[in-house]
Amino acid sequence: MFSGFHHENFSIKADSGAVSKESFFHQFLASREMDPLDMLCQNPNSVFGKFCTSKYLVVVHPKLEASFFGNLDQRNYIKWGGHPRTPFYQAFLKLAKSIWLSHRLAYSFDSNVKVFQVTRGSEFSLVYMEIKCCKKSDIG
Amino acid sequence: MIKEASQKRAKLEKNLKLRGLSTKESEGSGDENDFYSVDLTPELFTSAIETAFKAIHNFSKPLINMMKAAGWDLDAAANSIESNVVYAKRAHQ
Repeated sequence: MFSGFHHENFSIKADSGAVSKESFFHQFLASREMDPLDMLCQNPNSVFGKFCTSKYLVVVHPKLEASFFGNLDQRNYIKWGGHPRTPFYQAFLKLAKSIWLSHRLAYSFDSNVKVFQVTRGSEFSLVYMEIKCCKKSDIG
Repeated sequence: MIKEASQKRAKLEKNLKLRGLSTKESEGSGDENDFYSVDLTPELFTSAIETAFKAIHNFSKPLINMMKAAGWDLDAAANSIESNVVYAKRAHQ
């Protein structure tokens, strides 16, 4: 879902050229309160629309989809640029929008964000770690 | 200076509060005011990332349930993505 985050265009091919930091922030503000499906209804071929389409096709494997629904109708519909009003796709859109917003915001700052990943077997100091996976009551 | 900083802080706290309520309640209400009062701060980014993190979790939950219902072997599926991971709790998978 995060792949391509370090690219300004999130690896989505779009005709528009470079986007200024102000307009990234503006996009963030304009869309953060909106329902993702409304955003897509207003402008199905927007960059956000393309983002949702491409991420859905990567994140939801065809085998997964076939096992859920018994067919690939939804996938094909999405592949052709559609944004179905199914509960499953809507659930996905909520996820997509939150990542999209993070990306808009990340590129609103003067210094570009960098994504860093930790490789397997790295040592770390507890002092700098914060538990992100669960409620405090879950630990132990 | 201090006065300025505390004003900024108050503004930020207000924004955070608005965001906390956001998505459902503030739809259509006072959005325009809100629009210009939001400052670009690292805290805003942190909260956006936290929202994204929750969204990932919220999508995974039904996905996992649907996989279970469809008869998927979740252990095998998780291992195929990243093998040899030791999970502190089964639920973390």
